[in-house]
Parts: sequence; structure tokens; C-alpha cells
Amino acid sequence: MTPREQARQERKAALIARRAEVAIEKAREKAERDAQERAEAERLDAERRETARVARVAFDAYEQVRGRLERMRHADPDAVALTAPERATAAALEHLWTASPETIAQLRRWCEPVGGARSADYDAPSPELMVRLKRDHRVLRRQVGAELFVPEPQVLGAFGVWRGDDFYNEDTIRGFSALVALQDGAVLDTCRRAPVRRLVWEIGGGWGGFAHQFKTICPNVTYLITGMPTSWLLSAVYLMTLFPHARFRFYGDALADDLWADWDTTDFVFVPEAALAGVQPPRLDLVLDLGALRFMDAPRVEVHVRRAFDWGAPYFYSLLPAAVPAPLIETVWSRIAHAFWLHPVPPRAENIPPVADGPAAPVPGVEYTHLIGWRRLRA
Amino acid sequence: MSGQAAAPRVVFGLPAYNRPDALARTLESLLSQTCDDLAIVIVDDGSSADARAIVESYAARDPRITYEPNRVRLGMVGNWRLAFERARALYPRSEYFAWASDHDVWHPRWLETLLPVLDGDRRAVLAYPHCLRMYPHDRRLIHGSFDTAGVAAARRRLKGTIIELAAGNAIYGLFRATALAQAGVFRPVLLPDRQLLSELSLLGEFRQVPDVLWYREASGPFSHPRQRQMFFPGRAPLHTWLPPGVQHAALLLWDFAVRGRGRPACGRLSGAASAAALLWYSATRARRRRAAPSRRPRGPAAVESAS
Repeated sequence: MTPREQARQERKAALIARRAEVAIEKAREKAERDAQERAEAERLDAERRETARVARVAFDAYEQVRGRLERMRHADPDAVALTAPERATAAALEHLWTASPETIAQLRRWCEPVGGARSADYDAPSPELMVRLKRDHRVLRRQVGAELFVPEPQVLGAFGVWRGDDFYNEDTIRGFSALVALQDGAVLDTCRRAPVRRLVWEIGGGWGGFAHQFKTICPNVTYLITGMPTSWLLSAVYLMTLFPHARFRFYGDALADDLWADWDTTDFVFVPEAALAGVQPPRLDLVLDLGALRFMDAPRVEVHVRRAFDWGAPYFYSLLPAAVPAPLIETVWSRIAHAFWLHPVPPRAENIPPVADGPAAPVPGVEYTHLIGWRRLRA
Repeated sequence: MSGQAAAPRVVFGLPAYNRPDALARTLESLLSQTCDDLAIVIVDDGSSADARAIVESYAARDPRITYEPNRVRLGMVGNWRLAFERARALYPRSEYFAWASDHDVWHPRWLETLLPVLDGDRRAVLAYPHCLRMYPHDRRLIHGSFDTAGVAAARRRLKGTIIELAAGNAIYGLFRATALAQAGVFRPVLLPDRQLLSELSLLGEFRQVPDVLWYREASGPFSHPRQRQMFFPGRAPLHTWLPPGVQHAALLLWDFAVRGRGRPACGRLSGAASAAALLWYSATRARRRRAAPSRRPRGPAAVESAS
């Protein structure tokens, strides 16, 4: 073979080798793509199965709760006289008495009437909402860290925005700010690091969002929720879904005297407001009002405060709007102050204005006033 | 009203002066401590019928309170000293002491949180929390911390105490009573809280807990003339016209180098060297403060001394 032919042969062999390499590379890339697609399909399938499983758990919980509430409604017709906003809330939840599995699978989207964020706002969040949410999240995360942040669980039609690994909405941020206020008020650790079981009472209970956050941060508490039983179709169902292994007890399951049997191994207790007078808990370590009191009339607020005091609560937390309107000062603030020394918790924010000689200037971006009351010696 | 025979572990000495408007809130905050092994000794330097009535209404239901009005006005320094002396006289076996004002507020968990800190380490002579400032229409968390846990070198503790510590907050902490007595309690000088804490820093460590457990009412603007007027009801001693650092260094020299009161933690020679160091650190602090006029919140009161 001439050198020329030899060179041609070598070029040909090199070309074949390169083609083979390219073919192998292509085959490898295709195999990788196929594997990724299979993994993605499996992940989506697992997600779908998980979503369906959670929806089944939620609907089972819903049926249990609804059955209990129906029995309770017949057994105890003496309901509390609700205010107009509370009646509107009850009316807005009426459809939940006949909810379908599909409705319960999207439970988070029905929480707006009980103080929840509006899900439609998150379908295409406005720039203002995004700016506000990110600012509040950033301020709290920077100043306090991640320790008290409980993200929005991605179940039952959850909605929100992402920042890094955090998924949240206005409800998540409100709960986060309440937990931070409880920590700044040196109250949270009484439940968080206590060697013995604590009992916490949330008035109203909303849709269960704050109960979920609190119980996640402070697992060693028994959490009492009182208020309008209709709202338990949201709160109890939500909590039973998120804490499938927790122990729940409902007023009416047992005689009033037995309600607190094994209380320290029970996680959530639900009692209607109308039955409160007969269910004194064995202890009470903290009372939480995430906005329920402001929709009640003054006598009912007073009854709740008096009950908290009589049951021995050392601390009373209340969340009010940032610039507390005069009617709320009269109906809520001053009524709590009868039995508890009230201390507003300084807001966590950026650009807090300097202290002024006159009334405090509003702090930009702060939407809530967090009040912590310390029990008075005498009410 | 007289003290109990039993020895509480902690005694609050409350030097009162004309704040009946806030006294009930303060007393309730002390009586509501979740750790209740305490007594409260109130020495009233401006005895008014209102203050007396308030104290008597609480003392009638709680034997932990002792109330003693002064026959003649002692001024703030004298009254603070008396609060400590009466507390020691009434409860000589109590281990810990804390001053309480007649207008600030103590979180119910204050004692429950601080007591284990001193119980847990004999080297600690002072434990104190973070503080919240109460303005007439506003409240602010006071950020910044100072802690000498694990700092074995006494001179380093002294330096930190003089340059970094907000003495007006720490002075309302929980003290090991024997260390406090050894450091000379409150002395007739300007910035007596800073002077006391300087000497105390040579005797042991200061521990600050992360919780906000003391709510401090904002008081009037700080000035040396105001201190002379508040602290000394008659005529202020001549030495109070000297720079506070000089007054403090002279006292430290006298206490530790001449009288040897810092022993065994701090010997005479070490005391003399510490007095010289104190003078230097005080000058450094003054220079730094002049260089950075004010980073504190502006307002009716930006005072970090005892009030």
C-alpha cells in the first residue's frame, strides 16, 4: 500500500470512529432524555397519586367532622347569637355541608370567608401583592431566620408564591409574623421548649392555618379550638389531613367531664363557643386570638377574656390591624386589658421611623398590631 | 409590714420615688414572676400617700412585700444603697439580688430565665436579659448584646464592660449578692451603675440571655447636672465634677489596690493595673462616643443609665 492510500485509509477509519462516537453520544443523550422523561412522568404520577390520596384522607376527615357537627347541631340547638359579619361567614360556608370530594380536594380555596387569603389573587398575582409578600417574607427571614417559618403545605389546592425553597401566601406570612411576635414577647418558648405538655386555646381557629403552624413549631401542646362549628368543616378537616396521626377530640364525642381525659396525649380539641361554660380545661398556658375577637360584640369578647382569666391563662395574644380603629380599642383592646396587662410587640420591619414626641408614626409595610397580655393579679 | 422569716433565694430591692402612677404595674410584674421564690423590699424616698396605699393593698395579700418609707430624702444613690442594705439585713441568706425601679416592667419569665444562668455557673456574677424600651406612644426592641461568658481574662471583661456595655440596662439584672457586696454596691459618683459594673466585671462574668424580658420606660434626657441633682438631694460632692472615668478609676484603686477588696479574684497589684486600664478604656469610650455622635433612636429619651 502506498503512503497515499495508507493516509486515505487512516482518514476513513478516523471518520468512521468519529461517526461511531457521535452515534454513541446521541444514543446516550436519548437514553438520558428518556430516563428523565420517565422520571418526570413517574414524579407527576406519584404527585397525582399523592394528591388523590390526600384528597381521600381529607374527604374521610370531612365526613367524620360533618357527622359529628350534625349530631352536635341537633343535640345543642342553643347557638351563640352571632354578629352580622359572623352570620355572613356562616352563610358563605353553608355550601360545605354538602361538599363533594372535588370541593374538599380544593379546601384551601374555600377559606377566604374565615380570614383566609383569596386564592384568585394568586392565579396571576399583581405586582403590588408580589412586592408586599416578598418584602414581608424577606424582612422576617432576615431578622429572625428560618426557624419559625412554616411554609404553606402544598396540599388541598394550596396557592402562593415561591421564593427560593419557600412557598407562601398572605396567610403564611401573617402566621409567621404572629409566631415572631410571640417569640419577641418571650411567650413562645413557654410552649416550644417546655418539658411538660402545654395547653393552648385559639379563639375561633379560622381555617386551621395558624393551628398548623403553631403545632408544627410547638409539637408538645394540646390545641383547643373554640368558636363556630361550621368553620370546623375547614379547620378540623385541614388539620386532620395534615396531621393524620394526631389525636382529635370533639365536644359531644364524650361527656363534658371526659373531654379532658388523656388531654396530654390529645393534639386537638374542638369545642363550640356555646358549650364553653362547662368545659374547664385542666390547665391553660396561652390564649391566641388571630382576629376572631374583632368580629364579636363587646359582651362576647368580655366573656372570652374572663374565661381565659378564670382558667388561669398567663398570657393572652391578640392580633389586630396595624392602626387599631377606635371601635376595636373599645371592644377588644380595653376588654382584654381588664384582665391582662397589654404590651404591644414592636413591629419587625425595615425603615422604622425614629421615635417621635407625639403619637407613633405608622411603620411602612406593617399590617398588624401584635398584643401580648400578661395576666393581672386581679381581673 | 415586715419581712418574712424564711429566706427567699432572690430579693428585689425597689428604691421608689414618686411614681405612684406606674407602681402598681411594676409590682404586679414582680409578683407575677413564674419563679416565685422571691421577696420585694421597697424603700420609698418620696413617700406619698398614693404610693403607700398601693403598696399596702398588695402587701395585705402578699407577705413577700416589705415597705419602708425613708424619714429623710436620701437621693437616688443613697436610696439604691439602702435598698440593697435592707434586703441583706432582712434576708441575709438570700443568694441573689436585683434592683427594681418603680416604673419599669419585668416579664413574668424574667426570674425563671435568669436564675438558672447564675445557678449553673459560679463564675457568672450577673445575668440580664435583652430590653424593650417603652416610649409614651411607641415601643422599641433594643438590639445589641454584651456577654462575657468564657472570657477568663479579667482585664478583657473590664474593657468590654466599659466600652460596649449599656450599663443602664445591665444594672437591673440579677446579681450574685455576695459579688455585689464585694464590688461596693452603689457609690456616690456620677454614672454609679457603670462604676459598679466595672468593678463587678473584675470579679466574674456577665451573661445576657437572648429573650426580651425587661421593659424599660423611657426617662428624661441624660446629663451630668441632672444626675447630680437626682443622686444627691443636698449638695453634690466636689469629686462629682471630675470626669466620671477619673472618679471610677480612683474608687477602683482604693477598693482593690489599697483595701484589697477584690481578692482572691483580683489582687492588689492587678487592682492597681485595672484602675489604670479603666482610666484608659473610659477615655477610649469617650473618644468613640464623640466620634459617633448618636446611633441611638432619636426621641425624648435616649438614656442608658439607671433611672
